[in-house]
Amino acid sequence: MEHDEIIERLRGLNVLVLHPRDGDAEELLQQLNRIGCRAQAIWPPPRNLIDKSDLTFIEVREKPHDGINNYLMLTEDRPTLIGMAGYESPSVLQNLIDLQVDSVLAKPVRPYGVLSSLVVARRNWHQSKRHETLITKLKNKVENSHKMNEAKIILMQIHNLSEDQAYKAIRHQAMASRKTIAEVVQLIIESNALLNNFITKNNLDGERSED
Amino acid sequence: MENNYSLKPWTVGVLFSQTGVTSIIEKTQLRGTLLAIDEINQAGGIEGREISPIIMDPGSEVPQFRILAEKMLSNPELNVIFGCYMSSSRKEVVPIIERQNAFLFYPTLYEGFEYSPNVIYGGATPNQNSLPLAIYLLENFGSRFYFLGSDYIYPRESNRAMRNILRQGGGEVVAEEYLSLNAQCEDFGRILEDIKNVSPDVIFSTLVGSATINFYTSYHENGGDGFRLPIASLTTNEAEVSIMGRGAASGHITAAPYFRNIKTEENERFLKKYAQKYGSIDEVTSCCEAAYSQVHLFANALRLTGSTDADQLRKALRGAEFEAPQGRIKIDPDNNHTYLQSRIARVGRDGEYCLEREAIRPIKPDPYLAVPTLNDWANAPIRIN
Repeated sequence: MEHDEIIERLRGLNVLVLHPRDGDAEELLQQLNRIGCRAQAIWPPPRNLIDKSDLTFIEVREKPHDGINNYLMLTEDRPTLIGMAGYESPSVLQNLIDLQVDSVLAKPVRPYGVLSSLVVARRNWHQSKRHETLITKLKNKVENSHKMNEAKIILMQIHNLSEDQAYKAIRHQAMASRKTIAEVVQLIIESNALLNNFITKNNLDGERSED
Repeated sequence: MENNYSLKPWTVGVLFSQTGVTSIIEKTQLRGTLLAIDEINQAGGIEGREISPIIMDPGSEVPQFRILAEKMLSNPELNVIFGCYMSSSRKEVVPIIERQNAFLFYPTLYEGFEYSPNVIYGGATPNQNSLPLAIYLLENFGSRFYFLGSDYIYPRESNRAMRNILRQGGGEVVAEEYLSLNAQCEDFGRILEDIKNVSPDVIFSTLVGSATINFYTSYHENGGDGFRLPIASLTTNEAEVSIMGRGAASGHITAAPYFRNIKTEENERFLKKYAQKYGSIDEVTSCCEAAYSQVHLFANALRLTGSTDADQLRKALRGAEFEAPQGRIKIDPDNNHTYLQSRIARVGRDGEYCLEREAIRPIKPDPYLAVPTLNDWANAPIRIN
């Protein structure tokens, strides 16, 4: 199963609670300790990034909290986020959407539900991480294949080659010059652009002078 | 609400099934509860007031637990309930208890993953019983385990924990079967056939209630021998053994915090009083002992608070200790579960449990242990008999 390790790894999680120190924060910390997470609560939100926090609980109210927003901006790698909300009014809901929380813990905090919200948040976070990676990979792939086609067409036109020959030529060049195919493709496209640019510019200048 | 002048009794609810599939074990919990109440009352009660139990029988029917708990708590004098065996029945009662800020004493082993500020959990969690049992079985019988359980949450979660432990110890689950709570002898035919074919090293049973007796009996009648291929369990107990008979029970193994024949002064006193009240000690089990100890823990807390208010009781109970028949126990202030003894015993040819090994100290409850590791127990010193 894909998310098999989420439950097993809950105990190793470093959890940060960004919520005013009140009964809710206290109840949450105690339950996190029972579950066996390494949890700490900090309020107001720190100005510097807390190392190694895998999952962050944040207070979500009707208006965005600058301290929390500033803290979240510090994080390069988005941590798993769980919103702690005491109201379900539209402005609170909108903030939950805007903050892109992975799950929600309703206030007042009760011990029941903390574990489920941890698990669901981790699952969503893992999933979106995986999707991000996958999207980046696919984007690169599409881009590379575009470039490859472009480079092949250039070679085909200039040297009057078939597509297959053009590809073989690129591969051969890559091996001979110890470059990756992507690098060679890039070079072909760039050189061609340079040449075109050059010719077009000259032509244009010539045309202009004739006018 | 306190009223010392009228000497009104402290009214408590007692909610154990006296009929239905799990009544054998729940009746032992009822008796343990009532014995402790008797002891406390005979010693003068608490602040001169006796404890007066209101006893209701949910008949092993899960929805009845909720209905009866609501009925009990509608009495304004009643704020504390002793009861529940199956997890499914506890899940019915806890929301009602929390809503009214009442208190539940739950004297039963269960699968963990629960914490309510309004419940004191008096039975073992998997780190206190499954883990030591798995290690003992792996060391003594082999690695091929046959899982057989009743079909509800406890057996499934208990097996999940067991499977995790076995995997680490090089064990293997060769089959996993679940039968309905009211499985009859004839329902086990297919299972017995399967066990013969699969030929495991150990049968790990999480059957509860009458299905336990039906299975052990069918196993015995079909040539099963506990000394050749034992059934190991976390729930099978003295009361069930006395019903199934020594023939069907002998050779089989149970892990529990308490066995009737352990030698402590408190146990001797407990058994003597039990025999005086009930005539025999045949039905004394670990769940009975847990129920008995929980009443005493409650009474000691009540002496401090002078009130059954849940918030005050909780404060008094957290960290409270009691010299129980099993040995010293303590309520863990972190999670409301109980530090308990951990023992493994095997039924001898005489039908008595004989201690195989025990931890030398009570073990801290860890109700949220998702993946128990062998080390958790390996670090606890044990005594091997």
